[in-house]
Amino acid sequence: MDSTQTTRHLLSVLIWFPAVAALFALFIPRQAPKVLRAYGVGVGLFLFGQSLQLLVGSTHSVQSRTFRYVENVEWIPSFGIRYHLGVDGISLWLILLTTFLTPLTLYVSFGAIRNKQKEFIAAMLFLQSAMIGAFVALDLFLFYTFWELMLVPMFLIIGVFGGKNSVYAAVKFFIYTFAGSVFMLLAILYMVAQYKTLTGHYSFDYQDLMRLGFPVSTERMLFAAFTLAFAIKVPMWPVHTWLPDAHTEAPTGGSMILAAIMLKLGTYGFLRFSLGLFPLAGHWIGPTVALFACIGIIYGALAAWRQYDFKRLVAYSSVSHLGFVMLGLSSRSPTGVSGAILQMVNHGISTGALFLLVGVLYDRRHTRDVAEFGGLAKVMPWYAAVFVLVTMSSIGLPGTNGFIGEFLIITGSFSADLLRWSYHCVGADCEVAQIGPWFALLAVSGVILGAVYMLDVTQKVFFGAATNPKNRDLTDLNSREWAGLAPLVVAIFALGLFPMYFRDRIDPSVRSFLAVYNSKREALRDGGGAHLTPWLLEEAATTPPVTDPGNGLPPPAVPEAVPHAARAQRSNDLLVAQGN
Amino acid sequence: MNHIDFGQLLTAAPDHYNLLGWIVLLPLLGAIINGIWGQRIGRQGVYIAAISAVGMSFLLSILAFLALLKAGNNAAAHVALEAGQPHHYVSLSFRAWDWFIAPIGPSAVEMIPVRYLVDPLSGVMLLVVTGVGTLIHVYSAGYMSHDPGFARFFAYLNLFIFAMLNLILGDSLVTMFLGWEGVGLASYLLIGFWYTNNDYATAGRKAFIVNRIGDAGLILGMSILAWKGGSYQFETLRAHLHEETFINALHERTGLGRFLVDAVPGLAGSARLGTFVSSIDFSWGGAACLLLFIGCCGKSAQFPLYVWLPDAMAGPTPVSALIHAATMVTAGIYLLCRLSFLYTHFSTVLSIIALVGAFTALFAATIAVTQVELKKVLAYSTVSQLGFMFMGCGVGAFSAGFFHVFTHAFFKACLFLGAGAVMHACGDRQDIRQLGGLKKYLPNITLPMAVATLAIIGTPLTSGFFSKDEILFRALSNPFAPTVGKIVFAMGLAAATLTAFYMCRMMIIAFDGEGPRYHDPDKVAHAHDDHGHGHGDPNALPSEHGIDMKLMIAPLYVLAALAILVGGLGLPHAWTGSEGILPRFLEPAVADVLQTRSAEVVHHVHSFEWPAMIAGVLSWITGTGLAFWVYKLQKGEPADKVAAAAPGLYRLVFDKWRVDELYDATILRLVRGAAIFAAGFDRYVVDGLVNLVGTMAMGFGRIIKPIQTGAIQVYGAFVGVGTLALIIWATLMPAVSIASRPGAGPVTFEASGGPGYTYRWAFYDPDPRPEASQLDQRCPVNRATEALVRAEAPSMATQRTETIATPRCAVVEATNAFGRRAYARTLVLPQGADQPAVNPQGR
Repeated sequence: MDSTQTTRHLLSVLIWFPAVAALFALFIPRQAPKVLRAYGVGVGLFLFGQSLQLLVGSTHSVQSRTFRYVENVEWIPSFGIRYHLGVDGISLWLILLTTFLTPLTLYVSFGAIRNKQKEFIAAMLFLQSAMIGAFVALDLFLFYTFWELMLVPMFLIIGVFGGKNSVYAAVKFFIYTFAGSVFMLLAILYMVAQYKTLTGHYSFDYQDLMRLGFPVSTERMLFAAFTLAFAIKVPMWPVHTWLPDAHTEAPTGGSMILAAIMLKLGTYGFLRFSLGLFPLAGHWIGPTVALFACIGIIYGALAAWRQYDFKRLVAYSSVSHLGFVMLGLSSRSPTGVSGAILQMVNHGISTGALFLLVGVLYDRRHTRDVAEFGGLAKVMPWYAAVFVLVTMSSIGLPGTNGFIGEFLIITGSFSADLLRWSYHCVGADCEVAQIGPWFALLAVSGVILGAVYMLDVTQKVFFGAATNPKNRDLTDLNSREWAGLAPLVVAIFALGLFPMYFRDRIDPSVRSFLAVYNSKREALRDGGGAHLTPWLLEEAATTPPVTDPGNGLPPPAVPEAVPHAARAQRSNDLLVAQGN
Repeated sequence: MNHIDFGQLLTAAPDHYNLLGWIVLLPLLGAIINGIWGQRIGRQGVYIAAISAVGMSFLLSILAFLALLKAGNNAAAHVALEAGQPHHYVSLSFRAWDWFIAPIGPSAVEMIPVRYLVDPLSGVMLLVVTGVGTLIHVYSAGYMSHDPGFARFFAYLNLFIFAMLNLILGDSLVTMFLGWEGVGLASYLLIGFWYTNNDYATAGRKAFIVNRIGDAGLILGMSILAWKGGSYQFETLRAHLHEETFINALHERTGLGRFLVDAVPGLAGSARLGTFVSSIDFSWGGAACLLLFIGCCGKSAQFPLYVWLPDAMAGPTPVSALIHAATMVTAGIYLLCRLSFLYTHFSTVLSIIALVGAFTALFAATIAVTQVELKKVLAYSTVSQLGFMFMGCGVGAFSAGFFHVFTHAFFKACLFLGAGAVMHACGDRQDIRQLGGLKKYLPNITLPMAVATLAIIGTPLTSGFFSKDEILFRALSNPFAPTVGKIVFAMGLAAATLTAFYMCRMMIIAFDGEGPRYHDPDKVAHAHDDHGHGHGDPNALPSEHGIDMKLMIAPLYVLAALAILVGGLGLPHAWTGSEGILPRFLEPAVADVLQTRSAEVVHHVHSFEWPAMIAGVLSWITGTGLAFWVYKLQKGEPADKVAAAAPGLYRLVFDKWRVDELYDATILRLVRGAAIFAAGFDRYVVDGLVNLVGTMAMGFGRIIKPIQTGAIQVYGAFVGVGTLALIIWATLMPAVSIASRPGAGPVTFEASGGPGYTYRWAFYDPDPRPEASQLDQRCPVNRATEALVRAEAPSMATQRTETIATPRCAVVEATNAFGRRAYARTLVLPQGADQPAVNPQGR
């Protein structure tokens, strides 16, 4: 453990503190709602404060590439299950997003949720526990446990606190995502069994299992099992239909957490586990994933345009936005992946804010039908102003957070090396076409359609004459809603104007992840093609080959991250040199 | 001026010129103050905040411009001049902060700072934007004096100036894009300023979305330029275009281009195409130029993306003047000039630009002839004039195109502001058929508008004459695509004639003749004024009294004076024997196809100057004379006759060639259909399938429910049947696989299997042929059976250790108790030895 780390077992604190606090919440008397609310928000804020420690030393050149705040002890030794936690640049901002949004969501939700506040607080805190656990777990058993545990509180939040059709939505959400992850469990068990065969002992450890190599067909099936679970969670087209239902029925707070954080576990898992563990399969299927992502971008945007339910619209916009994230990840270029991670955070903030805003209207009118509104800009001017701002962030106006992510993903996949298509193969000799530009073309059409549906709904709700008499006396944002929105607005500009602060903490990890990914892919391709049986990759995963294989892949050597103070003098030439 | 010390402001280091930061920041501060506290600080406070923010920005811009001149005149520049570099490039810049890092290739990246840069091009544009911007802010104080949304209006207007300054001062494509989309946002907000009118809100949305289509092209073009040109930054790109590697990369043919050239024989070197354009190379650079031009088409309202601009007239008139005439819509031409060093390499794209510009100029002019609303005529006139500017760029005369941007800013702003003042005075009427005789009542509006009209129709010695003439003559003398040049020249001349005609028509009908036709002394005042800036009785005669009218008239005079005078900055070569002041000033920053041509070519080009000028004057006489004859002398009768003679054509032109309807029926219907399809498909097919699976699961549950009786005997029977099935499976169908655990030297093999199995192991050499890549080829089945025949007797041991020195195939045969056999193979490679390349199946 490093001297810069101020709290020992910080990750354990972040995981278990909310869980324990959730239990304690049950002992606070229901007759003291103020205490209860203060308790819930207080716990969330305390954890947010604690989680800020993760930023300490997060750009330190060596540490930021590997896992930090590592805790690695035996848990169930007979099955090789370990309590292995760690955070790197890929998960750092997602954890902070979780701790940032949870107290905010709790505080905002108390406006609408008047009954069973205690249960709501407990469920939210428990949910936070499981989500952080899933982000930091480096043992596949531990990850799977948290992954499934997450479903329980969310199931309750949707089912108990949701709308009219909430039980249908909750069951659909639960079964759909659960069914996907069962195959992941099978795949994990298969991998562990093979590890046992090869080494003589069990291990669920991510870094151990990364050393496993499989025959091509087996690897593809394992990849498919993992990716199915993650694709459902993302959700990718065409396994996305649980999302609109879940969002429509969930309470505002539930929708915010679901869209802002839970969906990110799908994209996070795809990067960390699907690509990290099965690079050959990822290489084989990568362009196809990118194609599905692009279909999702366009399809989600088109479907969003025709929605009359405000929350369904935002849900479909999530399908579209997460298509961007998946495109960035499947481009497997450093910028594309960094951009995708930034976009995960961006989407969490923009869509969280959108759901919060929709909730504001729902609290006043108890309807989500867009046609019920119109001309609200006159009645609720500040609300309209914030909504337009968030809309601009959602459609990626430069200066807001949405632009950075979309721009990096589009340009990153435009020139991505690994998005290629081999054809006219004679033996192993193929003609290779770079197809990144076509994906970029599809993605920018999503940028256009994003403006279409968001501005369309903005006009329907806010502009025109206020014809509906029920809207005439609506009140503008109250102080609780302002308190919820203000941090999100600040975050929109912080990420949009100063993304370097975030990117500096993401990029080293991404580069090192991709270096390992590429070197493992090279090792598998050269060494193991003919194996019908699994084998262990000796050191290949951890030690990249010395020479560049000459295929234009990113170099295995990771450029040193430059300390922040020295960046003013950093010239572009230097960056280019490092990049090459 | 060299000898006057302007203090630190003029002598600061050219790359830390902080003043630029303030120029940009002040309008933003104005926008924030007015946006958040606008209602609280009151009307006067808003005016002061907004006007002083832009006004101070203008004053600082003058300082920055002087500093630029001074830097250009300093010793270093003189040294460069004497060293034979007449195009010494001077700039001032200010880096605000590092924004983000963007990719310029598969793994290379570039830092994108928020950095502002003033060079001759952006310096001139800076003065135009802040100068005209200040005038229009002053005007707006009068125009919006009765509108309750004044604070919001000025906040948006300041926001626009802020974004526009980012656009023109941004030193890279990305920073420029920040402003590019920012002005789009401001334009969206301002077009839909009176949002309670749903049509206005729709117009704003349309503007944003059509611009987004262009922006998509811009993003893709940027990506290509960064990838192949190696940078997002204008200065770096310019430097790269002197390097062989980057030029070659940009001229590399795209995949699609290769495909087309292969598929269509003779496409690349077609002689017939060659008469129009020098060559089609289908290169990445050409694609980038074309995609960026799509962005320009969106922002600068060129065919086919011009449709938003006429609708944008829904916004308050000062907005139309500032954003949709003088500044924002010229951003496309500005971008072309910024990248002129790149575009001169791709003459095909230039010819496309010239043709699009010429077509738009003519097309929009025909529509303007029939329109009856002041702002609609001016809007189509703007589209047409923007077409002229693109013509200039497209024939390689970028500074001529920019000169027209410069002059157009003044006369068109003046015309729009005049139109706004007329509407303000006439109870928001702008139908010229209802107006008339205004010169009697509004002399101080009529005079500047008449002057600006003289300029726009190209009256000799006005600014419009010089700038239009420059474009026409360069079109006629186009050195790299003579045919295109002549076509463009003819279209431009026709458009210029039409311009003279429709502008005179508008001015005569609205300002001349008998007094306002809407005025009916007997009528009672009951008309509703939906914009909230009513002026009492809407039937009253127009007048110029009141402080708000004075605030509006002052800028008109300033702009009219400029519209006459600025022509002096670009006197033609034929008159003075040298290039004009402005083109010469721009020369270091703006490329021109003539810069790389020989002296003979340049001389030959200049020989066209007089013919073009004479043709231009003739077109002016024709257009103006015709309009005077039709509308002044014949009181419009010939026009009515023509309209009556061809009613279908007249309606078609009056309906703007029904292009909007065409788009509605084709592209929009397609996208809407796709959206309806997607939503329905999602609901009924994708989700339907999911629910079907759910229903099936429940149905299956219902089917097997009777089995769950709770009777132990039935469960026992199930267990028995299951066990039996397992036994049969394990005994009748043996299965086996090999796992190998590599050791140091000896390799341990392990066979999986089942109860009662016996195993036989065998090893044999793999097929050495290099083309054998699959396991079935390297370790063929027949050789495995041969090897097994020679193998030792079967045993119960599942493990086997073998020392492997060369690549070997291992095979194990498992026999179950019923004598059924199965085998498994694998290829083992020795540890540490040179491994032969074996291709995985998936490669």
